[in-house]
Amino acid sequence: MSERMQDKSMPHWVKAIAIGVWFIPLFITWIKPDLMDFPTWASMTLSGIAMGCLIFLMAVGLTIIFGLMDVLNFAHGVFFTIGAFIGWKLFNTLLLEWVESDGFLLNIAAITLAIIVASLVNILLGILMERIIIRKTYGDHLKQILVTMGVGIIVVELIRIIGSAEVETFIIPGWFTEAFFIGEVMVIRYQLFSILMGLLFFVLIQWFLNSTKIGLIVRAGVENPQMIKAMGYNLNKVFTGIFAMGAVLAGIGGLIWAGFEENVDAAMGDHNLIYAFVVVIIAGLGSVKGSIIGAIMVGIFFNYVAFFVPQLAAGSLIILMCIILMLKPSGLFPQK
Amino acid sequence: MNASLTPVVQARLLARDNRIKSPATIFPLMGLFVFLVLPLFGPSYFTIDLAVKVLIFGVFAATFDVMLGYTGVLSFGHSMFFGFGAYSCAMLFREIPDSPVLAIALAFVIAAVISAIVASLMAFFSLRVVAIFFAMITLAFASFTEILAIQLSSVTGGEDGITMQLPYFFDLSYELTGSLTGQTLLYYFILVICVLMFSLMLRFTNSPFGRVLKSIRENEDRSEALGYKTFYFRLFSIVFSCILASFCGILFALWLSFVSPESTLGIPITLNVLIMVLIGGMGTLYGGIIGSFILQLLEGGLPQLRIIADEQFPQYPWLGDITGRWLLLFGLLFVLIVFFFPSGIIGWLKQRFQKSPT
Amino acid sequence: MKDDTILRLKEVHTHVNHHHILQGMNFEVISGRVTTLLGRNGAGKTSTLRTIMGVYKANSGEIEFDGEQIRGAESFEVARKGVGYVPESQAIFYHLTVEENMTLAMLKNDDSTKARCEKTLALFPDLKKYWRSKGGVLSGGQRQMLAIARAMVNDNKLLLIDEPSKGLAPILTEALIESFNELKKTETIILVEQNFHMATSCGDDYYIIDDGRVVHSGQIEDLKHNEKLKKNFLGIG
Repeated sequence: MSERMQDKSMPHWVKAIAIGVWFIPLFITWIKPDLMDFPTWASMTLSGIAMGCLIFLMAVGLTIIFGLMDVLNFAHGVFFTIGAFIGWKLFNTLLLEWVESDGFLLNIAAITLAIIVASLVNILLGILMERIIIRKTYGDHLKQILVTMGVGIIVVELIRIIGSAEVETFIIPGWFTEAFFIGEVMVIRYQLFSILMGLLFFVLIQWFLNSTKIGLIVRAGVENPQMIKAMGYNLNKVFTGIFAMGAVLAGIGGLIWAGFEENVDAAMGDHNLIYAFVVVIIAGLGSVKGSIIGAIMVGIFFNYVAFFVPQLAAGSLIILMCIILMLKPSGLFPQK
Repeated sequence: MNASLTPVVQARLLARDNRIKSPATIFPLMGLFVFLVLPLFGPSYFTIDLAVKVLIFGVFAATFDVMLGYTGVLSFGHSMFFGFGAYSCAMLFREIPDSPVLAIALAFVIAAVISAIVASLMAFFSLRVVAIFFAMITLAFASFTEILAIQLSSVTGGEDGITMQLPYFFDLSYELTGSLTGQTLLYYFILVICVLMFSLMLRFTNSPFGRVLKSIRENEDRSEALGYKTFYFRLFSIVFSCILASFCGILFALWLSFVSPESTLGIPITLNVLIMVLIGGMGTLYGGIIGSFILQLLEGGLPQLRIIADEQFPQYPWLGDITGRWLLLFGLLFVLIVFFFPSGIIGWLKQRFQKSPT
Repeated sequence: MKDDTILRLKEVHTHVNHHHILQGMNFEVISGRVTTLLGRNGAGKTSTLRTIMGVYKANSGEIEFDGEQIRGAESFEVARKGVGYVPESQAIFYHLTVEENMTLAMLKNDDSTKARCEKTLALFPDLKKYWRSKGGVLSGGQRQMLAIARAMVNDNKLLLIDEPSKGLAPILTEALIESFNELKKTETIILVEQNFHMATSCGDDYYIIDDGRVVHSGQIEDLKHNEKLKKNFLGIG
């Protein structure tokens, strides 16, 4: 592709509007409480942030993997689905009692165990996928897109065969299903849990990137892979690790998302992958900070629209994407 | 001095002779002949249906090839345009049921206009962002368009779609002569439009315009240096491809007399044409038709495979599981072709029977 | 000063994207001396450095470095064998601080490397001043210094430096020449330069490259006053 036009940097008034727009619904609760009252707004916003945090877990993996090695994995959604299915299987069989109880410790133990198992499976799968398939497609974007799409289709079908072809119910651990009130606002514990996990991993990823040597290598590699190699670093090994890390994150996102929606189905990964793509599109390639901001934006926007016009919730994301792309075609915080 | 032909003219005549006699002309003509006479043999519905699907999706795949193989743009949004055409037709039939001819004509016009607008937007974006980013954007758009169609059920009939009342002259009950019915008429209508569209695409890609396109695909910077405003070429090519794609949607709606989000807007539709183009060969137009033929055969023949697996190898139930899932084999086929036959059947044939260049 | 040949290229051919850019490169670099590669734009000078570094993979020929055959080696392998690279666009990491750029550059964390780091910072005091600033805020001259500093911290046997004076104001070029003359005392350098003044001030040997191969070579001293050569191959005068 010949030189792209340079993105103009956003003037300040545009930034102000961009931030202010999100507070319009809050404003509505003040002037027209019968349309939407404050507790409803708070509940919606909380839901939106929780949804955003879970999409973030998939999006951040995608964006770092692309930033680092120029690889776009259209099969990334399978890790999400696998995480969810492993959680579902474990919660329905081995950990059934732990999950059905209302005790915090048992619940947390169940969740932790599920996350560990899901992560181990995803690490293995991620390493295999990277070694066997992705390696063969370096540098050829078209091939990458096609091959990863094909592999994605195959794995989803395998999940249908091995796991389940139906939509299955996912049990949320008892303690987390309870809600409590802050003033008039109802808060479900599971929502807070999702938000906490998202923020926890955001902090962990930032720490990893900013305070470890490997993180430094990754950040440099995202900016200029050729140069970091010429400085003596074998990016190939780093990449396998990062790919596996992306898989683990997606799996955790999927596991928690299953509880959010209270069901699992083989197509959930692909469905959410689209949302993750939207986040990456909005955030710009390679940016972790952009991913969390973009993810929360998408989550909140989705929930706001869903409140007023439920049918347009998904479709309205098109508008969000268009507006942002018009302002900044490479996304809000592109690192490349 | 007698008026003998110059060497250049002689070479041109020779090349034209070669072209006319070459397989590249003979096979398509043979294929066309088969399509022309097929209904006269009173075939089963299954056969005619297969033929129509091969035609429509073959041409649809060819339009996709114009974008991917000739213009070098990978877009997952092609299903959107197919859906635009299909839904325009269905909705017009619903609104003006008394004048089907007008409805069909208007459908073409409206589909063309909508496609032109959306395709122009797409072309604009394809210039501003990296190819992979663009692929993601089109995927998201196509996905959300399908969801919109499902959600806006008052307008689009939702998941159940819209059933169309075909005009009498296209209906199965209208008897012409012998075994030829209104449906046969519809078949020929579709055939004519498809041949027209395909010829248009052939002319387009073999024209000087098409050659410029090829040079842009191979080396954009050089083309720009040579003075071609690459953007306008791309824009025209993309809009052209998408408008024709929407026409394919119209034909599909007419044949099935039914549209639904799943059959006209789903991502699998784009994946199907993608694999058709891959099987046949990118950048060849005919590859789309060949790929369409093979894919329809495979899809139709799969239940047979399942029966074989169940009867011959009952001790391996998983074989039955695997062959029962079309998508699984589809995915495998996809990956295998990309790795081992990236230039498709036509590319492979060209390599096998490579004549030395003049 | 030892008179060993530390790098030898024999009939090296490189193809990039159907372009045959190196068409039989032959030259030698002697340890302890500055070898300059001269020639017009597009002659193949940068491609030569890239080929040595492993960024481009040579298709045929021999590249012998310190007794080892390195044709086909990955760039990180070449770097670890003791080759430092300062590319044409400096390629510093703009989103990383000067400190982080230097940390990445240091392949070993031992005392000698730290000592070299201190020495480099003494040579380029501006880098110490902007230690915690991101690479993106540095000026052109400072970026060049950072790029060179990165290559200096390791115990490199050879430095590949590509057009360091490009885009620099003349006064900065003078400063650069001074630092190079310091550098020369301990490093072996291959210097690609279009700036004739810089090349002649720092260089010891020269190879003039055209169309992917060497068309003339010798010692800088002789080139300085050879008007005919300068005009024919470098377009000067």
